[in-house]
Amino acid sequence: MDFGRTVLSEPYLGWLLAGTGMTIAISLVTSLLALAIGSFVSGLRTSGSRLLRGLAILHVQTFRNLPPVPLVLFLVLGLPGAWPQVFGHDFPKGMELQLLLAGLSLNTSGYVAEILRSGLRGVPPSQWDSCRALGLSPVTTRLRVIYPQALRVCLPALGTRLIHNTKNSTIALVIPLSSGSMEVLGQAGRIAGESFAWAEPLVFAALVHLSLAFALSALVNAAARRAQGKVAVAR
Amino acid sequence: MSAFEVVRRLLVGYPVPDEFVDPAYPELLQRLGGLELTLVVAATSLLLGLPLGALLAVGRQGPALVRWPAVLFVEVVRGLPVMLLVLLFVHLSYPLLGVRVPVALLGTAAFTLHAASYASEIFRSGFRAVGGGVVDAARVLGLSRRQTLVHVELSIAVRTMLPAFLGLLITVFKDTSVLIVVGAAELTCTARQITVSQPVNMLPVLFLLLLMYGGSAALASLLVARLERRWPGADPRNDTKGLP
Amino acid sequence: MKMRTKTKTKQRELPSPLLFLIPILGAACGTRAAAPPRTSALEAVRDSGEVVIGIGQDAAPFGYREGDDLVGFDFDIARAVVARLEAHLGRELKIRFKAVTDETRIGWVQSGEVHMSLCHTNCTRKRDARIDFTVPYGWDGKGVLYALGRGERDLAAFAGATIGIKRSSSSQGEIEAWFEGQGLEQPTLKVYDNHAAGIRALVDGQIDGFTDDNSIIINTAMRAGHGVGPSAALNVTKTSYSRAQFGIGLPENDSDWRDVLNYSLHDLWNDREFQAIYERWFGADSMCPIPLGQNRMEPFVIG
Repeated sequence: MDFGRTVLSEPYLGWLLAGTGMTIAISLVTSLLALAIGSFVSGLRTSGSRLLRGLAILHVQTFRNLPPVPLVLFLVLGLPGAWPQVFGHDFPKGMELQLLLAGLSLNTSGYVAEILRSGLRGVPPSQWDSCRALGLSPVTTRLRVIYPQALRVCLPALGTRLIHNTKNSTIALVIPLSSGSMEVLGQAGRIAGESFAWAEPLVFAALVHLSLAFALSALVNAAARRAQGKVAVAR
Repeated sequence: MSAFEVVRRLLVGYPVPDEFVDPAYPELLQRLGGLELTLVVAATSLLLGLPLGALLAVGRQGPALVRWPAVLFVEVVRGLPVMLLVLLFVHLSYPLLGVRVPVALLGTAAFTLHAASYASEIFRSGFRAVGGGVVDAARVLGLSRRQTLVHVELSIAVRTMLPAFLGLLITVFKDTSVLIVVGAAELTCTARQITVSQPVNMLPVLFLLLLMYGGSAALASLLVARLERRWPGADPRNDTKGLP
Repeated sequence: MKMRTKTKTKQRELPSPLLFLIPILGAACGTRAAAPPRTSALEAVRDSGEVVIGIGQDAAPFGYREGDDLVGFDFDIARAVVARLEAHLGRELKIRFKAVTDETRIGWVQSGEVHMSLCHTNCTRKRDARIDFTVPYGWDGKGVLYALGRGERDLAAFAGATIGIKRSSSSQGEIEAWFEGQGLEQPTLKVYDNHAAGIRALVDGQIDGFTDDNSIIINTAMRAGHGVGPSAALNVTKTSYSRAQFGIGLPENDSDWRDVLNYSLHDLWNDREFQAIYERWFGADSMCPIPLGQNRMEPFVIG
């Protein structure tokens, strides 16, 4: 295995580092989006309206049961063709990356919503009663008492899911992107296309992902430990 | 291509000419395609991955010499995206081992490791559920060794682990879609083959693809949920076990 | 209730597994795992009676799905060459096809996983540095396929536009060289992993043009139901930015193997079997006629 030729030399190393940056960017954006969407959907779950509750359940069931690869393929390859027939004008160009982010975020959000919901259920009902007895407003109850406890309960599972979301960034390999905006596995493929060697760039990409996974799990473990006793975060 | 033909293709894939089949390896995995191959890969990976996972879980309880490699193995395999694992298998198998293995088998091997690493966690939670004073309590109550094993330990283990294993099967089933990047003829790749080889609208085929995955996974998850409800004695710590 | 914890799961029990990987990788760096095979492929094939051929499945007219069957120019040439190989080796040979993609067609020859690869592989110097090629068995050019909505365009009009290319083809370097040579703005290149997706994106207006070998993009577009020509929906630029000649990919520095394969191709040419196969896929009745014209194999005489 010749790391010197294929990984540690320019321009390949530059490509791989750019790809690493892209992986981190994709993971960050999709994680934040997934958390936002997931919180919103799990909030809908407790609403009074049957319709909203049903929509929330539909969201969770859909995006937990659809694997991300077919979902992203559907969004990137299928949508631009069908758009003019439904909306009359052409689908905007150059949206592949955005569609990938949307697909990955939606997929993770289904799991996040469910995790947050079980976190909320994990808070003892006596907490709600105590807050009411103390005369705290509904907003204060939620923000200061309930949600922090819920988060504490589901932090490990949340961390696991966000790490899985990071690993999902490799799905960018199945969609068309310009060479400059590929994540690390795509850059590894790009190097393989030029140097005809897959092994070394793949190993580099593997190291990047392992490092990210370990860094993230260490982070989540530290956060969970601050909240309560030691909790094992599954990767 | 009619809708019926598209569905048929998605279910069974394309026929494989004889010259593509390597007689040294199981012919089944090489000839199947579409949803059939997806199911076979998922089932085989789990069947092979469970014993491996059990070994790893037991290894983690053992002396440091056995524990460290086991932990290293599990942590590395779980830290890698499945797509990367599959690509590593496909591109390193010949340079490192000198054997030409069909792509479907390499994919199955990668998923076996993937399943084994998650399975080892499920086994460990099973061990934990059985641990504690339960066995001692059963013996104190007068149950024989054999009765304890069957009615207490195995019963708790099965109730804890079976829903989790079924969930793992569903997860592996969904994850096989990454095999498209190495050209294994599973469901997603077959869908792409259909859109490539026929003047067919991409959207309907891709929508059908989503339906097949989503429908199968949803149905299976429903059955697992029903199973979990029928066994309320399962370990409550498994509710947010963090499995994908 | 105090749980009897026999194994305390200490999260910091081990140093990060990454530290273990460093010495492993260090050792791996020292090995030369992907070295080219030492024995000639000819010996391996003669001894085992089996020839492993990497063949492409995704590009018409070279190798593609027609209904239930896998057909194409590469398939016909592969089978014809092996028939001639049998004569040279004096024994019957069994063909084993291994599906390769543009990503694996060079690397697998290099590592020896396949004895040869036929996957519409353009002979370039960069590739020739890693593997060897037989004499060319196909010839083509590379232009850009575009939608005729705004009238006929030539290559120069694509400066600064978005062009789709096929992953692991030689197009990227060739296009960049052409536009630089003309002093024009470089187009943005989007990488697709199969031709049909690229042509679909072109038709949907997501990209301004798609490019690979002309015969492949024309065949793929026509098979997808789009007409190609000055009066149809799609057209190919008149100017090509690069020529292409296709050769069978072989392990590097394997003279004996290369010789016998070249002679097999020469035999096909001399007996006019090659011309018949060529006519079937690139003749006047085909989707993308490419007359042999100046292109020819120059067979050696026995001497």
